[in-house]
Amino acid sequence: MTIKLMVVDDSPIICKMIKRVLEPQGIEVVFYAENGQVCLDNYDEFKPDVITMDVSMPVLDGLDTSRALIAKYPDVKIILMSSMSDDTLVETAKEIGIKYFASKPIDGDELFKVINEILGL
Amino acid sequence: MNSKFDTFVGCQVAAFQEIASSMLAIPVKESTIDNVNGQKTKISIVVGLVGNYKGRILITVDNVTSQKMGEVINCGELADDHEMFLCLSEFTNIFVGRGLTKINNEFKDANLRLTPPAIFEGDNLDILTPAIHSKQLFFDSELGQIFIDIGFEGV
Repeated sequence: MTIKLMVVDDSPIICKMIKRVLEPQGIEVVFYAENGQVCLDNYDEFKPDVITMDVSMPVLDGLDTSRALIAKYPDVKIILMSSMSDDTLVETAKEIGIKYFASKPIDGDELFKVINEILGL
Repeated sequence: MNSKFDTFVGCQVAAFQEIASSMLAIPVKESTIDNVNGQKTKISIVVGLVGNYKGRILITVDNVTSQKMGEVINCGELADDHEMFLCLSEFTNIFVGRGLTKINNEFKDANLRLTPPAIFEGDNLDILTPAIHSKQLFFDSELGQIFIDIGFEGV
């Protein structure tokens, strides 16, 4: 089974890094969104199994995007990815309903493990 | 001696060393000799810091070092200069974010966040931000020297 992943991040380099570490593990990046609004506009079409979500992005940031996604699709699987992981940010994310986090720089093994955990594999 | 300022700088330096080790896979060693600012062509990346304090972090490398750093981050040849700028921006973003996490967890009132990076490239480039308390640091590495200027206002 191929796992479908949507990468939401304003840096295309991050998407490239994620593809490099996850595609050999059978995880396919089905869509890259450069901001939260692009993610919301394309979610229905691609219906990813899991989303990696950056926090700071132009147009619509990762927290507001996640809030909107969770309200519309309560079962959506989101991994918040950020270079920042201070207590306030983590608390805010949890209040929104985000349960999974991965830090930047990307650690392929850590991310793969979190994806498996979030999908119950 | 301003202890809060020194702690803020210390958090950023520790984060820089951690991220250089993980993203660039190289150790960096602090130096007192400036081998960057005299170079003709340089690249500077500036990240703003906002929240209950204000500041900015500037990282400067010469064009040879920037190319080498970009290739390591990209795990291979770079398509063009734009890709190199993206790699350096991401590196800066990640180490500054890591540093701010350390500061925010230690000083709960700080609530610092970073702004998107601005990139400057040019010959004889000088970026001046005089109205700010800042610390200049030089780090030698096998990829070349990396200059970092860490400034905070009101700390």
